[in-house]
Amino acid sequence: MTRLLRSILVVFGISVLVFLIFFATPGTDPAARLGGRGASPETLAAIRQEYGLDRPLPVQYAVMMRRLFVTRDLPSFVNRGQLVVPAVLRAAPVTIALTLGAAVLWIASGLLIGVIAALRTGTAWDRGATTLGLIGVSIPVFWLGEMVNLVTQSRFHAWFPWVPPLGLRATTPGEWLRSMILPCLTLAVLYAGIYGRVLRQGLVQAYAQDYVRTARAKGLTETRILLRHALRNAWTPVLALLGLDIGALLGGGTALVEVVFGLHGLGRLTYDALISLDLAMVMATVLYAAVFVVVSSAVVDAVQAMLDPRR
Amino acid sequence: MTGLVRAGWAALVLSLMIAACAAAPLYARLAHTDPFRTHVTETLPDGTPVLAENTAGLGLGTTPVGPTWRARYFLGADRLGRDVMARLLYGGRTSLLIAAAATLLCLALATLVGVVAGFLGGVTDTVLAGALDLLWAFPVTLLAISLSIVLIGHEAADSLALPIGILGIVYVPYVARPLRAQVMTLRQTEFIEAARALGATPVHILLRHILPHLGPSLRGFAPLVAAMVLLTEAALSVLSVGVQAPAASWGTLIADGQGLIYTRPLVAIAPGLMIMLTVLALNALGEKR
Repeated sequence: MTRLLRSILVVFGISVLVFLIFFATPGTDPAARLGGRGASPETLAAIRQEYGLDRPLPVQYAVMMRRLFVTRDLPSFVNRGQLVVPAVLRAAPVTIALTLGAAVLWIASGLLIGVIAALRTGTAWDRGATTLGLIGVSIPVFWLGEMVNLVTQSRFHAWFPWVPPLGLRATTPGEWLRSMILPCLTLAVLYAGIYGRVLRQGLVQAYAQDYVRTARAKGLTETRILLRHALRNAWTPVLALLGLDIGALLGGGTALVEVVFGLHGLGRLTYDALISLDLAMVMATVLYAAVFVVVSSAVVDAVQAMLDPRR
Repeated sequence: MTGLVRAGWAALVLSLMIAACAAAPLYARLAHTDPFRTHVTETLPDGTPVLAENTAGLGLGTTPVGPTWRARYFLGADRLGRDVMARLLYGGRTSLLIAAAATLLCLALATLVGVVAGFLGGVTDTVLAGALDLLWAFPVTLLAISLSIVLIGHEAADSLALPIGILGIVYVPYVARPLRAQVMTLRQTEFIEAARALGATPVHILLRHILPHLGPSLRGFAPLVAAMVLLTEAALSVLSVGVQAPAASWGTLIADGQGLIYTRPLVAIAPGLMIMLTVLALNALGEKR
């Protein structure tokens, strides 16, 4: 219950912060910014009317929140006739699928790397896992995406005949799935190593504990000790990390991957809005993404509490 | 590799990177090149045009010259016929300058907030800790995007001051939260109690007894924050809300190379490798040993 209350408080705080950034930054006229480049006086008047800009700040905040989350009919003044919230909700599934798909991949590979490194501490496997983790957190993700495109789309395209061309909207589920494989893999490469390291650390600590010795003394097999005892305890820090990383990805982390691979998700929507200076759209994507982040971190916390063996 | 050897390599890579970028004007001078001059119609001494007209297909557009492996156009030219190697070094100056300045700003702000909150406690702490928690929950990319898009074009926003300020602020909670916890622990230690019993003023305790204890943590955070700032700066620049033209950074160079990725891949590969090497070195330095 307190967790829920906290989440609501955080969403409220973030929404106030976003509102203040967009509407109350000193020295900027919010109407002129929302109207984009060279907005006409009529457009500016329409914007002031739509957002109630001549009224006090708390009223402006209330108007904005109502139109973003209740009536959801906030128009874009740069892309005439486009409503921002439906556009955000249409794009969100792509970003969520990309994040979750990547998370499944990096957890699976992180698990493999971590277990091998923990069972073979001090060997080349172990050092390789450490190096991979360090490299993973040091690569600019959009650059890695470019490199993947360079390999799969031009020189060596013959080796990857299943990779669809960039930017096409998929028409069949199969096509959609194939267009998601490389973006998910690209993101997963960044995180697999670091998850492997965290898991290795947890496993090494777990193996030094008395309960593992007891389990061995009881005559349990090594596999059973790993699965039922060591992993369950080593898992906790990994889940904490997972909450942060999924949040970061939903909150704009996937943007450049979507741009590089031509996926039409939230990040791509934000990118296009930034290029065309469509501030209403930027505001909507930021607020909705922040809500997704808070919800996902609450879900991860709940899962963590459920899985914690010390509970 | 042991920690010490790794740190040595990291320091070497970093110093080379900084030296190379600091020497950018020297390079431009020796190679008779200019990172900001565009060359649309020029040809090189051997007759190859800097921007060659495309003949394949519809014959539209131009393809910049590839790497010559000589002083001029060592790594080739970009879409506007500018020297990629010179831009790589000049862009590095921008990226490294932003990383260094934003890191200093972040550590200074975080120390201030962390020490004030942890030392004073009470209502001040509740308010500051709440603000840090809120900022922590706000995804860094989104916060940086919001601040940048609103402030770009603002009369007070100088081209480089803006990314430095924004990147310096968004990572404050990352450092301030652990510092606050550390100060709270320190405040209850016996030597602080002894100092207080001897009649030391709070300011004296803060400056002489608490701040020196934060040094090692700050030194540990510095390379990690710098690494995150470098990566985020590049991402923001590619998103068009970071470093603004005509200034260039490694991030904007990758963005420039995006359209040339299939014809002149080196234009995008080179700045990406520079970022990766630098960040790798910083992360290796920040690694707990």
